[in-house]
Amino acid sequence: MRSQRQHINLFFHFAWLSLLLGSVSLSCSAQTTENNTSKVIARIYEQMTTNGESDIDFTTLEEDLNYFAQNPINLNNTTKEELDKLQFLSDQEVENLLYYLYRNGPMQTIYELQLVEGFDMFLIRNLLPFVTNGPAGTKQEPLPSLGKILKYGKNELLMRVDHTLEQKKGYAKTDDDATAIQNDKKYVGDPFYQSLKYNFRYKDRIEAGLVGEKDPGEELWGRYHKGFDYYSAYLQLTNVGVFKSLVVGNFKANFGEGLVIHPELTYSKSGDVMNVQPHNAGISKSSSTNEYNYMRGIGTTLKFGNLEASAFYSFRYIDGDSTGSSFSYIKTDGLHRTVGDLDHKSTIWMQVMGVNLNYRLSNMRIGMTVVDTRLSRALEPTPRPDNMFYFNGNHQLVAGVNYRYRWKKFNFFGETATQDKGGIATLNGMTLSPISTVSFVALYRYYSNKYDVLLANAFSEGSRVNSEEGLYFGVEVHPMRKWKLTAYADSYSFPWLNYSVSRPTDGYDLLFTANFMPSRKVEMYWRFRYEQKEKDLAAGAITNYTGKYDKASLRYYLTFTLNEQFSLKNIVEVNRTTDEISKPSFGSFVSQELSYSFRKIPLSFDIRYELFDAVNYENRFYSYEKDVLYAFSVPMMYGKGSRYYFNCQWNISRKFSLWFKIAQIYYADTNVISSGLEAIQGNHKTDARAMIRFKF
Amino acid sequence: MLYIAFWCCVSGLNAQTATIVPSTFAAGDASVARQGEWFAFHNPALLASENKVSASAIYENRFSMKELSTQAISFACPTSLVNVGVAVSHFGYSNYSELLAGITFARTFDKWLTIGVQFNYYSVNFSNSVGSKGAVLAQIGLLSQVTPDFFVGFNAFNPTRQKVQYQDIVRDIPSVFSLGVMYRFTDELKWLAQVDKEISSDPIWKTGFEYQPVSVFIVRIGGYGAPFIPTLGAGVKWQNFNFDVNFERHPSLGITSIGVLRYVF
Repeated sequence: MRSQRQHINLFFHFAWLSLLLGSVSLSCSAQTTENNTSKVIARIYEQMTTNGESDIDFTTLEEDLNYFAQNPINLNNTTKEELDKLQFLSDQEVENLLYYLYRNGPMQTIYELQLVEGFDMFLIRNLLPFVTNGPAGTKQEPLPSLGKILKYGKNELLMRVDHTLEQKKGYAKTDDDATAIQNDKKYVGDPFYQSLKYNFRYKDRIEAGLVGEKDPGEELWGRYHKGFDYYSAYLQLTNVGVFKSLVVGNFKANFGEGLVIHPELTYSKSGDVMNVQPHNAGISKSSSTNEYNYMRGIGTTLKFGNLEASAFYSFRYIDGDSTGSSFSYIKTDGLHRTVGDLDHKSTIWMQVMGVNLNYRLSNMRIGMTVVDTRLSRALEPTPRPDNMFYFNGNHQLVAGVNYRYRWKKFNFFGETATQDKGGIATLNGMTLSPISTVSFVALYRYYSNKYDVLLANAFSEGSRVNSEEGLYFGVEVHPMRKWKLTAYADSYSFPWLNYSVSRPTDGYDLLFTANFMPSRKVEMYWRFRYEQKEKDLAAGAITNYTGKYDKASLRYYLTFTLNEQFSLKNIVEVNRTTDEISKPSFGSFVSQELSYSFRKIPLSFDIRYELFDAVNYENRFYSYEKDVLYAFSVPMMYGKGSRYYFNCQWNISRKFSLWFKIAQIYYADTNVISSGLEAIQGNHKTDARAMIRFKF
Repeated sequence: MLYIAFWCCVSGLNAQTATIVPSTFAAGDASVARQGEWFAFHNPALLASENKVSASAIYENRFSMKELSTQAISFACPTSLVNVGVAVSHFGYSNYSELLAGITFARTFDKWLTIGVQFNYYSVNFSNSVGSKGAVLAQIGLLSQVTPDFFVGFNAFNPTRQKVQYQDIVRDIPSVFSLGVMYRFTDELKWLAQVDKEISSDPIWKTGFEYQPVSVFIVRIGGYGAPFIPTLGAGVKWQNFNFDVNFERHPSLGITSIGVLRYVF
């Protein structure tokens, strides 16, 4: 029996959700699903990052969200794998949703979402465009004939071109271009970025695609290269017979907590404090244009009752400075703009074989992953004190055991792994929702010095899963309606040296966010972050001194949706950095964005203007920008200056859509932007980008 | 290492009231408003909430070094007039040790006002050649139940700034003022927060949550200070026995653990 107070609370929640649903349905009717999706992605990005990490790749997330915006997930007939694709849901939230459905049966109305433990208005607002409550117990239909699949499948062809309007040094005319190119003084190709992407999707059962891409400076057709610089193709079958998934071509393999293999994005510390576990998509296609984080070959997951068995084989070439029988580093940027870059292209082959077994019980899951990685030549990093424990050699065998266990309101999870050359890594954690308004997460990790695995990507402060120990606590509280408070604290230590850190060090960081949604039109948050670490400091005569430095930042974020056409977004951020031997330095950032969707024509646009003042690199700012479809722009702002952009989407017809974006950054304190072949003489840089999509 | 750890302890860098005062197993070591249980040498007003005679044995091991361990025992006895408690604590090893003994009186006058006072005798043994010196110091605590679920606590340890002096050696006894709150979300879930201010040091914030999913088991999670020190603990009840453990992780110095065995008569 619920108490009267709970009933009153429920009434208010229903009323609030009704208003929210009203606003979403109104906006849905007026905007394209892509527009809706990009808004949600922008919100998710703000939640899931704290430092504005610029290398974040949301391609898979955006593809899935666009699909689910058009084909919403039927919550009454869904699976964990399907919900895992909504990567803004933490593992615990997915478990809570499934537990609610298991315990209470099918949802009679979408309003029931708020009764799921840990589901608040902020989360539901992100979730609503992608879910529905349909009939329960619908069985998976058998695949129809190939003719029907091709007839009813959805095809999408995307073409994109980018261009920086100012000339970079690498494209400038020289007296002898051929010699300049040979001496790496000039790029081999033109300054255009070009990509071609084709996707085919038949419901959520069959996906196929082809991607071709060339970066600026790479040659499309000429003496040094013919065709796109990078190609990717994939075919994925899902839930066909015993095959839970079968992928041929480019794919990703994600298992456990990422200690053994997890090449995709891992959510680490972020404003979404509870979302610390990777989403285990298992074997899935890779449609990204990222030229390093993928595998190429074949992978499959078979399902036998509660047991799932996955196996994969990948063979691909990677870039490196190969000379003789060894190489010192793996080049991961995918850029082949100079003769030197081309000399390093595809010089080493990498073969990866792996298996994963996963057994599920009602409240427990246990898995084991074994991965064997071989390189055609030995990786031998240039010896330095800080990298003496890094992997070297041409063969690596890694094995790990992972688990998840639910007991009452506790969720325990973890993974422990080791490799053939010794070393151990273990990550163990717990999430807990003692009451509906409070949630916790605690996570401990220990990565020994000897443990360094090429394909690992797990929760860590450092960039590698190596030589680190730490304890992370996160808490999320809903003290009253319309408010959400989140905080995390992470205390860590590095038992060995790091790059530019000449002794074992430690550090910690803290984050506190207060979210407030006073009405369906207004949403805001205040976020404070403090971090203290150690690094080698130098000032004047002081060198080779490892000392503490810290950074404190405060951000205010406000979105105001005036009506279904017009919305505003503001960001104000300030920061302060200091270290043991330098004076404190300050940075400030202000942003104003305006978005408008025309009522009678299928056109929408965003305009943003930003001012930044971050004289020191440590005070730099990142700001997520809306962009053309499947492109993600998080420019770094450092120095003094301003930036604006104009981004628009025009759905010319049902089949054709056009995106266009132009962005210019202006520096008040420099007349040369960037360096080397990327140098621009002048104080401004203008990037233009266009994309066209043909759906058939 | 021993020297660094020891120096951190004696200079109060780790938010300890004094090396002699054992930490608590409260989440985040935020004990000043944690109504329901008395911790020896912490807020004496909490003694007023003890309604049964109890005895506790405490062992704290700092940074996994036996030389930095503290042993303490305490005894609480409620009476109709005033609750009385006694406690003794010992820290150190053969060449340096500290002893603290105290007697506590606490009484609830109104739900708004609970007062506790404690009289402590502190003794430090500098070395075998120098011998021991001691001083008497006071401790005052308050607890107020602002709403049925919200408590505010205050504690002043050594407010008169007593110190121990022997010739040129001066051993400052920290004067620490603590102000904190406890909020009961439900009977099972509590939130604790407090700020400690030692007169010559920066303030230290502490916070944590305690959750009791079943009557015999409790889990605690919290942290304090800068550098941030996370704490994680648990407690079990078996008949008249309570056993609680708590662990802290200092990023440089390592793990501090505390175990408390309590018997309720």
